[in-house]
Amino acid sequence: MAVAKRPAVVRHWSVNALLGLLLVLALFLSLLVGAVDIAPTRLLYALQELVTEPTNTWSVDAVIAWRLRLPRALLAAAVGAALATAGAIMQGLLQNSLADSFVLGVSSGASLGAAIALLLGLRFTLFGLGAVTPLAFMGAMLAMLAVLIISRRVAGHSTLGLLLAGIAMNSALSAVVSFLVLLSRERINPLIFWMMGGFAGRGWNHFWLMLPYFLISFLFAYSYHRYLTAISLGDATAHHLGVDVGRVRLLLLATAALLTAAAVSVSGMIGFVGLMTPHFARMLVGQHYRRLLPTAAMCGAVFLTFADLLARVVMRPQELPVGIITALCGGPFFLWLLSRRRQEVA
Amino acid sequence: MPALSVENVSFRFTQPVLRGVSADFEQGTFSGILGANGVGKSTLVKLISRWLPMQDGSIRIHNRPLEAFSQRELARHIAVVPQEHAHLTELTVREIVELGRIPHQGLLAPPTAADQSAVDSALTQTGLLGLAERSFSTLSGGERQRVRVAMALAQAAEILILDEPTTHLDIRYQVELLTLLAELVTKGYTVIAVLHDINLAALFCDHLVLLADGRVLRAGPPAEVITRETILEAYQCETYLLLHPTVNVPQIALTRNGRYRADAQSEAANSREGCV
Repeated sequence: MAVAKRPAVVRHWSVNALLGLLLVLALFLSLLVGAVDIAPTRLLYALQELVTEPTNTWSVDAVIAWRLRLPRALLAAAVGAALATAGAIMQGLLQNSLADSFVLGVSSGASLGAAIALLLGLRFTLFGLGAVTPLAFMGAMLAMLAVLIISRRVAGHSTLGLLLAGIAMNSALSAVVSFLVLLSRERINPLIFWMMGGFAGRGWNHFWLMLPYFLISFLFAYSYHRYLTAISLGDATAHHLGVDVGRVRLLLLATAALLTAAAVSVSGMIGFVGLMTPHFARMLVGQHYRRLLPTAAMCGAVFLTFADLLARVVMRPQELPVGIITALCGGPFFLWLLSRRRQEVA
Repeated sequence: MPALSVENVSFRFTQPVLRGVSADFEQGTFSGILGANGVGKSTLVKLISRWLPMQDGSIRIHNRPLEAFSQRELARHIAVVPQEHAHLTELTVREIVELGRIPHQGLLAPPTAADQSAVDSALTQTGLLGLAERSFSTLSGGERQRVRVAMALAQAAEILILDEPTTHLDIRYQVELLTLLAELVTKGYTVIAVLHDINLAALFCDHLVLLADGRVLRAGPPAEVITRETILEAYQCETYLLLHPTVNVPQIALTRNGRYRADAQSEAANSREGCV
């Protein structure tokens, strides 16, 4: 039996190793290209410089790579991983393959919370962000609970009810954010940023503030991998296995909301990453959350790093908000999932 | 002392479903719960598994009230195979059966040797060892039902409760599954199954509980529970009572229209061959 099990394990690790390589490749490319290209040989020289030379004698290449491009690419990877993890958790807990932070209005809730924090003048300093993320978390939680309660009350457990409630929540909250933008002319730029989503101008401080939220939430969710798998088979099944379904669901939905809030605090609204990447991960390593969560996080990191790379180069020297790229991939994917679901039902 | 005892249990949704049901389920017996649609069989199972909250009465496991168990502890005593999983899954058979170990595992603890052997033994007993690495969604109905039973076995709970386990299975799989359950009973398990098929219940169960109108109409060995009168009262359907040709248990034959008169010719034939 051990022999029979081995191929699956080998496959799982080789998938993750491959994704790891892709991520390294994406990060490396992110350092090379941008408004100014850096040739690979010069980049290697600059990297060497980062280690050996004092900060004030760094070349322009080294400064661009270290201060601008590396933190931005790492942040994109961390945000991608966070959104993918949140999506995988929600899809399992709600037994709904169409769920994710964006679709359920959780991202809008988070961005409203963050927008309010910004309006109150909590700046993007180290401590300022400390206030933005908790407010974003509160917004995310409230939006999610509202969507879940309303959809359950109106439409039972139906997918359609959940989606409609999410769409309505999204529109309503986006309208409020737009209203806030109009209210505050002088702070208009950071607020518009919430609505577009992107990594322009993000630096190391954003990365370091985002990372602990991601790591802690991820490890917490991972420790529940068996429960998540059981709940993904249905509430009754999990209940009979001794899982306190209500408590676990609330805890893990809060974890997903925190992941979303951390991502939205540093990058604004970026849609569809959490919807798409868990599906790729499921195709690669199956449905057990022991394997699904790490692989989904890797897929999210790779996807969003490449998406941000694209966003920076397609209209050089101008930059696209990365949300446009993810929506261009995610919209059709969502429609494809929906049509596939319809076939399954029929 | 019964493994599981139900005392005077009542339950209502908007209307009363169960009205004072009492029944004892002895250790190492195969019990069947029978009754018409909507009589509260599944409700009773859901109360025993605490999927529904108790309203009135009490349920005890080895004389300890259900409320005294944590959910996790309860799962180590009672394993439930509910009606059909709602969700088709790509998980492999082994992965599903491994989930049965959840009540014995810590959150982060890796599977122990005891977990492994419980899973292997559950797969062996259900004849699924050869299918262990197959995806659940590729299995036939009978195989799927065996996977659900295997998951419950991996739970290592002494009481096994199944809600309509044979529904949607053809006769071969029905007999195969009930034979498996009967074997488990000889190993000391207490098996309680909600069944629709009266003949199968009479053939396999040691003890039957026939529900009617939210109450226990009769409980006891099949020969006492299954009579023309009780079946008529419980199901509002007239039937003939026969004797199984080899095993000394009652079996029923249906009438057209649910009435004897519509079937007079058959009844004559029946009496010639000496029905019970």
